Amino acid sequence: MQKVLIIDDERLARNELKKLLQAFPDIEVIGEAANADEGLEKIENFSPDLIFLDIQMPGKTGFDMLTELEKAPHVIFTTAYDEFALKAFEVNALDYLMKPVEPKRLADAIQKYKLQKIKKWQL
Amino acid sequence: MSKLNLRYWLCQFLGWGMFGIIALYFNFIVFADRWGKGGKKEYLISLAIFLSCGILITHLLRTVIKKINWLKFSFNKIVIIFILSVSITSIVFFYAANAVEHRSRYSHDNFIKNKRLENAKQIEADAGMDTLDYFSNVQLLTDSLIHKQVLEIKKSTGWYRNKKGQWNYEDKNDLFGIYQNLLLISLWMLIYLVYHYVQKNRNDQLDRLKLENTVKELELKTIKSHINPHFIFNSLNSIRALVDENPERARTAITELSNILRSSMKTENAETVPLARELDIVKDYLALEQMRFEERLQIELCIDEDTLQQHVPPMMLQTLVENAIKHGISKRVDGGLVKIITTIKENNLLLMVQNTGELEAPINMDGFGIKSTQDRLNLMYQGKGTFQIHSIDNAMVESKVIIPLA
Repeated sequence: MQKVLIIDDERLARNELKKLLQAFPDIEVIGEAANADEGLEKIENFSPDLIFLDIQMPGKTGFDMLTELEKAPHVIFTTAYDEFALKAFEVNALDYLMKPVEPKRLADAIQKYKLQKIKKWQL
Repeated sequence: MSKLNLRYWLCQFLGWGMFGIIALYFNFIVFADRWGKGGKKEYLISLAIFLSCGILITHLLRTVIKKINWLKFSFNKIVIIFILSVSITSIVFFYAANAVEHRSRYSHDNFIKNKRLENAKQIEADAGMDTLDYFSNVQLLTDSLIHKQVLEIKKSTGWYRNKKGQWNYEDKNDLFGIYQNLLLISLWMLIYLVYHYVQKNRNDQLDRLKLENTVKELELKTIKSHINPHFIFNSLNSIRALVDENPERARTAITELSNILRSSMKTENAETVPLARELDIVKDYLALEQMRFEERLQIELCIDEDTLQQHVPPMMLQTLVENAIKHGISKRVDGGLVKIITTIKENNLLLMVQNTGELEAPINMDGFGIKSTQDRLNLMYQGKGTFQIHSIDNAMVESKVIIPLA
């Protein structure tokens, strides 16, 4: 089971993503956060393997949050518009998904995550 | 012939024609008594030759000017070329016109020369000198009567006898003629240059104005049709989540989003819209934002009934509300309040949007939304419409548009 945390300021967006993730039996959503501070707290408490992170949030942005983490889990950004795509890959994001998320793109992103995991074990 | 060429030839003929008319006026009206000995025909033909040569030679000059395109040169260079070209042209003009005239049967110069010769012979005869061979005398006493008479004849007619008794003519009119041509060509050149400079200047100005206008129109168009793509996709994402959770709300949300998209495409050509219509869009917009922000967004509307039929620039209130949410609500973890107030005060329509939050100091007054709102108001109400942003009691920010009522 892979532990997943969803960080997004919109409840409906979180719900939608949770619903989409139900299609992947080996993925378990262990929690959700509505802003960066809440996210930091939950990452510390649950140490998830993978986080879905919104960029524009009240208070701190998703990028700000990442800089505060000493050891970051794998990150897949979810955002409504592609103006941050380049910056997202600068901070080593696994993938960059645009809302509304296409199920096929989500599957690709999770596949990428799994490949990355396997690579790590092999090393 | 192009329009510009037509204008050029018109100016050529008008200019030289004017010179001809002035010459005719002085010779036939002011000094009408000078034709006692005839020569009218000769004068007219000589004038015609002179004018034709003038047109021809200045046309040649223009061809050269156009070829080297010296309107683009520096001022100093132009002055030097001006002096050179004017001098050369006037000298060529003078000798060319003279050469043509003297070869014609009706040369006025020749006519005058002959008349003067007759005159000289007459004076000589009147003085009783025609029977003397005074000219063969090597040394005339300088103060003798005959010497004085010879000088007098030469001075008044230009004619004198050489030692063999042949009549000679000393023409002092060359310099005068060149000088006159110099003035004419300078004048021609000045008119030509000034015309082209003014034209060039006006064209430059026109180009600049056109550019400014295009930029302005472009800016207006962008702001009018400017709906934040974030908003569209976020709304669609929320709607998708609502399809299962609250299908009824999802249906209304789709209607609201359609209304906004439609109006943003439709208003592009409208100068103003009734406030009631603008408010419909704003309400749809707020409903969608509330669907996303849920309890984080509170909305309050304070609409004066009398303002509903007033006309406002399309998407202006909408932009203010968007900014209130973007800079106010979405940045706060706890969200806040957006309040819209419309009222009429002292023959002005007031539109106010208040939101929870603090003014970002320093606020960027050149920011796209602020600048284009100001520009639009200036453009539409000739500087009488105003726009300002200020904070009220530290917890709220207010943006305010004042529109003069006709």
